Amino acid sequence: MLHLRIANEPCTMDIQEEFEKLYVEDTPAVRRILERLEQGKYCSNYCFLNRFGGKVPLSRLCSGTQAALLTALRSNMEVNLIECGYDAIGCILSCVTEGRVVVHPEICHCSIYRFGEDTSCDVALEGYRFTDLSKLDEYITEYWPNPLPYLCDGIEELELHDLSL
Amino acid sequence: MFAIEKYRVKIHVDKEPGVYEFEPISNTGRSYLCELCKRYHNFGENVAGYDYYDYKLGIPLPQGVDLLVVDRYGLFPFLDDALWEMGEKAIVLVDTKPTRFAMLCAMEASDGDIRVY
Repeated sequence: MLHLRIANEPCTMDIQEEFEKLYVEDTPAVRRILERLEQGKYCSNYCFLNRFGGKVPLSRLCSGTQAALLTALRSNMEVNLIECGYDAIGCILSCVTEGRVVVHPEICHCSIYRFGEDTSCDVALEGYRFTDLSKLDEYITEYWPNPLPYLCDGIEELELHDLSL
Repeated sequence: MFAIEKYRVKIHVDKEPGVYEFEPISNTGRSYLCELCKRYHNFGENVAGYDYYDYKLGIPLPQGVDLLVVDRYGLFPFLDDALWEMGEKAIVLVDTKPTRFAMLCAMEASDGDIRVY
């Protein structure tokens, strides 16, 4: 499960600095992120193929893509997505199924579902587990931080032991 | 309106002086635009770029330019007053999340042309 937190906190994490320390391995999630956010392809731990087919250093990836890759490859680190556009946030929530992220409450004012493309996800938020991105989007924009008035397909309540990180 | 057309990559900004923030979409080329403005500033053009690392190193905001691009402002959101003041005479484009300034701008970047509107 990807553990999501919504909080208005100052950002103490420099995504670019943390990304420079990351070993970028070839995994399905990495490939999906590069394809969705950069229209590119994985090449190696040093470069990727951009949308024009050119080999470009990984440091040229946009901050949103770097945050997405950090989330996918460092599941023990809580990644602050403050520098991510809504499209990158939607991509992370639908492509990454293990990890921890925190986003600003401003996300409540924008539907990220339209950026997710897929409908599936595996996200824990406020004691619920969402496996349907549209339901997660609805909760964030309509109900958060209040409890849901109902459960349905795509949403289940988490047991306490599921909340441990 | 502002334009630089003499270099390989041209910059066109269809805005009047003021402070604008980029729409919150990833990978539109904001960091590239900031880098380009820094490079053109070094060539003597009346543009400048400013980012988180400039702030961290204690470098002051460039003054007296016609176009300023500020990148990753969400990491150092402490210069609002200075940016507003600059925006009275210059076009100030800011990459910031969450949103801080009322006016938005969008951009499109291709190989040889960057357009902000």
